[in-house]
Amino acid sequence: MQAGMQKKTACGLTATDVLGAAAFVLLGVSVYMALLYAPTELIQGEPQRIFYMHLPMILAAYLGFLIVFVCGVMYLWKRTMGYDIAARSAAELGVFFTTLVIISGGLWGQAVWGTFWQWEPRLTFTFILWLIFVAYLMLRSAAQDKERVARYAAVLGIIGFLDIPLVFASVYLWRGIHPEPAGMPRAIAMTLFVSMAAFLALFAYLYVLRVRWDRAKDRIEEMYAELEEEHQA
Amino acid sequence: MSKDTGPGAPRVRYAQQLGALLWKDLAIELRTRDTIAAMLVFGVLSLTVFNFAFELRAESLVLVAPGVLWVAVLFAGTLGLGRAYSHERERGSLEGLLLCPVDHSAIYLAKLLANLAYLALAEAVLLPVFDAFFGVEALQPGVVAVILLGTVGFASVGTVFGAMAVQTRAREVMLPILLLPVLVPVIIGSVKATGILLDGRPWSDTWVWVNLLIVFDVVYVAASFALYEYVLEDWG
Amino acid sequence: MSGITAVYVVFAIVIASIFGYVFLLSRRQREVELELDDLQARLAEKGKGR
Repeated sequence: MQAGMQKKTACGLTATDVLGAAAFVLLGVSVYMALLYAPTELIQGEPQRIFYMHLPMILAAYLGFLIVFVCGVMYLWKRTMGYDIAARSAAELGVFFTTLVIISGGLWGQAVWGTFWQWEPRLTFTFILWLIFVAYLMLRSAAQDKERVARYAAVLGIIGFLDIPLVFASVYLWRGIHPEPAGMPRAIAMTLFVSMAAFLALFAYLYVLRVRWDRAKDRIEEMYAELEEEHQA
Repeated sequence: MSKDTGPGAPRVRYAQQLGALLWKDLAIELRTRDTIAAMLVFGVLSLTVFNFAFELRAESLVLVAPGVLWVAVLFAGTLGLGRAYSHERERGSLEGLLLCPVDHSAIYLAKLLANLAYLALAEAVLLPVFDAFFGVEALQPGVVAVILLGTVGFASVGTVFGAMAVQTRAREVMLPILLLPVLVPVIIGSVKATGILLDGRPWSDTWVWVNLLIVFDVVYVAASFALYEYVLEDWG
Repeated sequence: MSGITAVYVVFAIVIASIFGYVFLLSRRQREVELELDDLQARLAEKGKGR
C-alpha cells in the first residue's frame, strides 16, 4: 500500500509531520518578526508589513505554476499519471496562494490608496494569472476521460505559463512602470528572508499532503477496478 | 487526397496537403455559410448594443471606440471558433483526417488559416459598419495591420482551445473562459495601438504595442503548432 | 481601515486560510484512508473466498 506507507523517524513522526511542524514554526516566527521585529517603513507606514506575507505567497504561487508547466511538458512526453497528479496539485495550490495574494493586495490597497481594487499593474497581473489557472481547474472538471483531462490540462498549463511574461509585459506597459524601493534595511531583509523560508516550507508541506491524497484516490479507483474483476471471475 | 493514400503511394507534398486541407474547410463553409453568418450577425449586434450602452455620453463615443471594436471582434471570433469546431465534431471529419497519411502539423496550419480566413472576412464587414456607427476612420492601413496582427494571435490560441473546449461538457462556456485570460496581452496591445491610430497619432507611437503583438503571435503560433497534435489524439 | 488594522486582518485571513486548507486536506485524507482500508479488507476476503 503506497498511499499510507511512510518512513517513520526516530520519535515516531513521519517526514511529512516534521516538514509540517517546521513550516508552522517558521510561520510563527515570521509573523512575530513581521509584526514586532521589523521596523515600521517610513514611506508606507504600518501597511507595509503586509508585504512580508504578500511577497512570499506570490512566489509560492509562481512556484506552483512553474510545477504545472514542467509537469505538463513531462506528462506529454512520458504519459505517466504521476506527472498529472503533480501538475493538478500544484495548480490548486497556485490558485490558493494567488487568491490570498489578491485578497491581501486589495486590503493593502485599501489601507494605502483607500480603495480595495485599482487597475494597478501588479494587482492586474496577478488577477489575470488567477483567471488563467482558474480556467485550468475548470477545464479539468469539465472534461470526462481521465487521460484526456491530463493531456488537455498539460496543453493549457504550458500555454498559460508561456503567457505569464507576456501578460506581465503588457500590463506594465499599459499602466506605466512603478518605482521599486531600492535597498532595504537589514531587519526588513531578515524578516522577508524568514517569511520566504516559512512559505516555501508551507508550500512543500501542503503540496505533499495534496499529492498524497490524490495518489490515495487513484489507488482507490484501481482497487475498485480490481474488485470488479474479481467479481466477474 | 483519396488516390494518394495507399500504402505505397508517394507522399503528397506538404504544400499540396496544406492546400487540400484548407480547401476542405473553406469549401464546406462556402456551401453552408454557417460560421461566417453567425459571426457577422453577432459582431454587428455587439456593435449595436455598445452603441446603445454608451449613447448617453455621446462625446466619449470615439474614446471607447477601439475597445468596442475589439470586444465585438473577440466575441464574434469566439463564437465562430466554437461553431466551426462543433460542426467539425458533428461531421467527424477531423477523425477521418487523422487516419490519413498527412503531416499533423499541416492539419494545424490548415485549421489556423481557415479560422484566420473566417475572422478576416468577418472583420472586413465589421470595420465599415464600425466606421459608420461610431464615426471614426478605422479603414486605414495602420489599423488594418494592427487588427490582422491581433487576429493572428487570437486565431493561433483559439485554434487549439477550440479543439479542446468542444470536447468538454460545457463547450460553449469553456472556450471564452479558456481563451480570454490568455488573450489579455493581445487585447491590451490591439486596443492601445488601434486607439493611437484612431486618434491620428503617428504610426511610430504604436511600436511598443505592435512589438508586443508580434511577440505574442510568434510565441503562440509556435507553441500551438507544437501542441495541437496532443489535442488531436483520440479526437472525436 | 487604518494601517495596522489592515495588517492584522490580512495576517488573520492568511493564517486562517492556511489552517483551513490543512484541515480540509487532512480530513479528506482520513476519509480516503478509511475507504482504502475497507477496500483492502474486501479484496483480501474475496481472495480467501476462492
